[in-house]
Order: sequence, then C-alpha cells, then structure tokens
Amino acid sequence: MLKRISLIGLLMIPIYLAGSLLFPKYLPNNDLVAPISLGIDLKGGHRLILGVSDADIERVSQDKVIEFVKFYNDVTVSHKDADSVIFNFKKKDDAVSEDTRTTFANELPTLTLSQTDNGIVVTGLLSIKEAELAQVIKKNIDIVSSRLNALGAADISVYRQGSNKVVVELPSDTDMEYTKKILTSTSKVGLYLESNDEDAVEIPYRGMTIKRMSTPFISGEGIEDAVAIVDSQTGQPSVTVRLDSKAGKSMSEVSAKNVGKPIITTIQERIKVDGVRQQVERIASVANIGTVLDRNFVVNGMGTMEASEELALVLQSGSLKAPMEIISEQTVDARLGESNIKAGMEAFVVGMLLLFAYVIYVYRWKGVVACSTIVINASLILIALSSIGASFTLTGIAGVVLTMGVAIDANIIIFERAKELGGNIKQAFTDSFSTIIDANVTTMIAALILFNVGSIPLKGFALTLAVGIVTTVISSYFINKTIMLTILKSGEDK
Amino acid sequence: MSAEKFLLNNRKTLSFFSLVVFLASLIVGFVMKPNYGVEFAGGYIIETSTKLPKAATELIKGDLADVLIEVDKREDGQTIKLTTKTTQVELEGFKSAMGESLLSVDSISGSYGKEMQSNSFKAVIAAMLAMTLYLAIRYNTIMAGATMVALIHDLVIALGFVVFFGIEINTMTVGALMTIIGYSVNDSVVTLDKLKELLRGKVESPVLTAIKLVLPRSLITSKSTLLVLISLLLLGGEAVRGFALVMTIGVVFGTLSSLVVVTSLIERAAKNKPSVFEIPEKPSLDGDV
Repeated sequence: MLKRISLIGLLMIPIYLAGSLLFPKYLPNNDLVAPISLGIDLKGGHRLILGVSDADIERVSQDKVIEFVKFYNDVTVSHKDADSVIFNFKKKDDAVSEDTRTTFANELPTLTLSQTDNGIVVTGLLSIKEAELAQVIKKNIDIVSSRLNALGAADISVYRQGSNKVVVELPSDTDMEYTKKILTSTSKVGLYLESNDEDAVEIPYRGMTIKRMSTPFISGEGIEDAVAIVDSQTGQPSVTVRLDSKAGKSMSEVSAKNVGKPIITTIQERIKVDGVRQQVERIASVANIGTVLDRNFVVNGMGTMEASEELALVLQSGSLKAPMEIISEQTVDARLGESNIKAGMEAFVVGMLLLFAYVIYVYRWKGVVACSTIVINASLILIALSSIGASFTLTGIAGVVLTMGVAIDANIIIFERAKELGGNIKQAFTDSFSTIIDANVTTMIAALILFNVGSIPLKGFALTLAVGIVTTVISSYFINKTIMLTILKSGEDK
Repeated sequence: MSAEKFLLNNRKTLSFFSLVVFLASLIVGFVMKPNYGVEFAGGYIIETSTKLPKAATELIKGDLADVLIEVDKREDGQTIKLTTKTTQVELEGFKSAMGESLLSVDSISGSYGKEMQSNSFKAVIAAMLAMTLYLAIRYNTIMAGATMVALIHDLVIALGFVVFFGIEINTMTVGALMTIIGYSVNDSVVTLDKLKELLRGKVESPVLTAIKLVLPRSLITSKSTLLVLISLLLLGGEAVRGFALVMTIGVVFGTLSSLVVVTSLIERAAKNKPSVFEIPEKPSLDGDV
C-alpha cells in the first residue's frame, strides 16, 4: 500500500513540473526548471540568415598570402586568382627571403612557394579554403555578437549554420532596418602612405587623384576603441580612434619616418550600386604628418553624426573578416505565433483525449495506465527540452505527434503480447523489449542524422524526436512496467 | 474484427491496389508541377490580418501584378506570395500600404531556397540509408531492403498526394514526410520482429502468421494516431492543417505497406531463396540465443 502511494507520488513530480511550465501562474516551481523557450515561429521575432560568398573567401585566402609575403619581401602583387598569387620584386635581382620560406613552411604548409625570374609565385590556395571559411565564420559570429551587444539588443541568438552561414535571431521589437545595416556593414578604416608603386591604388579626392599604397600601415585590426564626437577644432562630426599598443607602435614608427608626408585616411565599404556589389572607397582626409603620432587619432570627413556613430560602432566591434549578405529574413509577429500555438495545442489536446478514450475503451484499466504513461512521457519531454535550453518550434510539434504515436504503439505492443500469452503481463514486457528497442533505435538513427544534416526547421523536429524517443522508452516501458507490476502485486485491480 | 479479416483475405488485391496508387503517384510527380512554398522556391510571404487597406489591394492589382504568385484568403487573414523578382522599392511600398494589417514578412533568396531543397533531400536520403544499414544488421539484407521499398512506396504516395492536390511544399510538409518515415519504419520493424520470432520457432507459413498476430496492434495504433491527426486537421489551424493531411495519408498507407508490401516482398524473395528466412544468429537484446 505504501509502495503504491509513494510510486504515485513520485510519478506526479514530472507531471507537476511540466504543468508549472505550461501554467506558471497556477503552479509555481521556484525556478526549478527553466521556462520553455519557443522558436521564433511560435513566439514571434526575427530570424536573419547571413551568408558569405565564395568570391569573398577567395579574397580572404589571397589577402593572407599577400600579408605574409609582403611582410618579408619588397614586392607588388601582379596577379591573383582562386588558387594562386603572383608577385613581382620591386628591385631587380631580388630574392625570396629565407624567413618567408620558414613562415610558409610553418603556417601554410599546404601552399607552394617558388621564386621566378622576377618575382614569387604562391599556389595551392584552394587547399586552405575550408579552414579559412571556418575561421571567417567564427570571427564574424564574434563580431556580429559584439555589434548586437553594442546596440543593446537582449535575448539574441547568433550561431553557425552549415559551412558558410550565420543565423541571427532577434526579438520582435528590434529596429530591423538599422540592425540589418549594422550587421552587414563592411566599413573599414585604413591609414595609408602615398605611393607610386605599380600596385598603388588611385582614388579621386577634391578634383585630384591621390595614389595610396596597396596595403595600409594601420587598419581595423589594431583599433581598440572608437567614439563618435564633434571635433572641437572643426566642429564637424568625427570619430576618435584609439589604437592598441602594437598598432600604436606602428603608428609612431611610420609617422617618425615620414614627417612632412601625407597620411591618407580612407573608409572602404562594400555596398550595392544598382544591384551589383562593389567595393567603394572614399578618402576621409589627407593630412601631412606634423609630428610623431601616437595611439590616438581622429577620422574626419564623416558628414553626419549618424554616420560617425555607425562607423564608431562598426570599428569597435571589428571589421567583418568577409562581407556577409542577408540571404533570408523571417519575421513572425508575436500575434501570429500565439495563434499558431493556441490552435495547435488545443487540437493536439483534443486529439490526445480522443486517443485516451479509445485506448481505455479497448484495454480498460490497462488503458488507464497506458494513458498515464503518455502524460508522464509528455511531461518528461517538456522538462528535458527546457533543461537543454532547446527551443520548441512548429516542426517540434510534428516531432511530438510522432513520439506520442510511437509511445502508444509501445504500450499496445505490450498489451497485445499479453493477450497472446494469455494474460501474463510480466512476460509480455520481457518479450516486447527487443521489439520496442529496435523500433526506437531505428527512429533514433533517423533523428540523429536529421539533426546533423538538416536545416533549422528539421533540426527542431529531430531534437524533439530524439528527446521523445528516450522519454518514450523510459515511460512506455520502464515506468509502465513498474506501475503495472506494482498494481498486480498488490493484488488490487484499478 | 472485420477489418482484420478483410486485410488478411485480400492481400493480393491490396498489394495490387497499393502498386497502382504508387505508380499513379509517380506519374503525378513527374507530370504535375509541385507547389513549392516560398521557403523552397525563394520569394516573399506576407501575412496580413483580415482586410487589406484599399491602397494595398490596388498595388496587388496594379504594380505588383507581374510578381504576384498568389493571394490566399482565409477567414483570419490573407497570405500574399511574391516572386524573387520583386524589387525592394516595390516591397517597401507594399508594406507601408498595408500599415496596421501587416503581420509578418518572410523573404527567402532564390539560391537559399534551392539549397533548402537539396539539403532536405540529402537529409532524408541519409537517414534512410542509415536505417537500412541498421536493419540489415539486426535482421538480414532482404528484410531491410523490403522495409526500405515499403518506405519509398509510402513517401512516393504521400508526395503524389501532395502534388496532385497542390498542397504547398514547405517546412511543415517536410516535417510531415519525416514523421511518415518514422512511423512507417516503426510499423515495419514491429512486423519484422514478429516474423523473426516466428522463424526461430520454425512455424509453418510464418509470414501469414506474423501478419495475423501483428494486425490487431497495427490497427489499434493506426486508429489512435488517426484520432489525433483528424483532430489536428479539423481544429489545428492553418499552420498544421497541411501537415495533418499529409500525415493522415502517410499513416493509412504506411500501415498498409508494412502489412502488405513488406510481407509480399519477403514472401516472393523466400520462394526463390529460402535463405531469406535465415536471420543471422547474433546476440540479441532479449537475452536468448
């Protein structure tokens, strides 16, 4: 008798906890279990999917090679494509420095470096593409997260999808236009010296053409902080930038060697001009170096305070390693989400009640036990999902429907088996075990594969299914067995 | 139960029926154009609450006429679908014309949509291959093969149904197909397991006996699941309706295929190769050899 009561008590726990998740007002649980988080299709919100293009990853690989080679050698870039970069020596009869070979051997072992009559050829860039892509996505996620934090957005999710996409989920009240602009901003600040090399870049400025070196001596990498201000001298909106110590040193060295020569400050962006993405660069200022400069400098020529604030934000978080484009945007109004849930839940509950009625009609008291295990099953799923912190999506509901079907099936297998065995329930459990395990393992395999290979909605389905299979085996078999045997042992019939 | 008798006595007819529906579905799949939702084809889905303001309706008839895919009117709102060719300006204009009644806007680029398509396809194939492998190990290759054939049969019929009735293929539809796979395999495994057990006991006409024994369970399970699905269908609201419809077909044919298709295939194979009935004796989970 005591065993029966304590058993029932024990089983009420998951049901109560699940209830407290669904009706937090009536059933408090003192935060024992975290509330269920809903996917945006149920709760409302925005989901952006950002992608990196192939061409941009190529560029990242190329830039890496260029950076390494230029660090040790005095060269200009004469050609670059998907798999190789060709450099020309500035001085005739120059040779590849040994340091270059060592660096390449250590950092980029899969690339081939060779010297030609008048330059250097590096090939094999395709081999590092995958790794570069992974790095780019990782860094971009960090940068995107930091930009979102700077915007003050709370309750956000940023994660990788597939090999070249980043998913950003935002709450309903986000200012999407501004956020999208910030997230995809590729604004880059660069400080350059003037140059007359072959690979110098020409930019028009106030009627003249300025030629800048192809690589900057200070870039976004070294920026520690950036703030939008109104310049006290000019009264114009500007951005003050503070460099980190390494970049600060670089600044001092370069400015010391080039007093009297101009520093060209440019802002680069990749924006769409007539539907085509182009790299656009404009000169913010050209100033002659008066004295040795230190870690702080000002970027002028911003135009508006708004532009200054945007640039400051972007500089603070760092430049995107490769530009990202918005390839998909989903917005679900909270109202729509709510009505989705309500209708779905109601229909599901009604359906389950009908199912219970049918099962009890066929199996009498055993049916009641079966139905209780289903309720426990559902409760366990809810608790498990909220503990993992997984979101419940619309396709998650599909996963629950399947789980309930499989769960009731397990019960029915056991009961039919008992019929075959002339009422020996204990034996029925033992015999049915392998069948139930087989069926569930097979479904579990499918769930795991879907979770790994599938897109966001499929993942939601797969997760609910996987959790459901575990809870089904626990409730429809083990808990069921315990209840049934306890009832039978105590000799009472329900 | 008369349903049991009916199924047992008319297996041949039912296999034939099932084959006919399968072929019809294949033809439908190739001949008719599937109604790909915006998620898979790319474009814009705009949800609104009931009536559109006049300005918006004008736009649909006028400027947006050539990028409009369809307007789906329901009692609690409308869904407007536009192709990927809609320009930003047109979209913004439409959004502001809708004002308060705008509930949500989804935009999917064409290439992403295509990727979703192939991604979903690959996921399904991968899952099916993995399951076949597992079943081949637990039972034998013929039985695993039969299960997969039944599964493909179920999927083709479900898809044929979807295409024939122009049901939109979107995430929920894919979810329904996944659920059908799970359900069908579950069903088949139960049948196979019963068969395996009978074979161990060297029963005469094991396939028929297996079906007889599994039938009551299959019918009760199917009825139970159908109760839930019908409830979802009638009361579930827009989002789940397509799902429930596809699932219902899947459950009906799934049960049929496990009982009729899988078993017929195994029987046929056994006629030519009795070794089909040999299941390698591996240490089984129920502890007996």
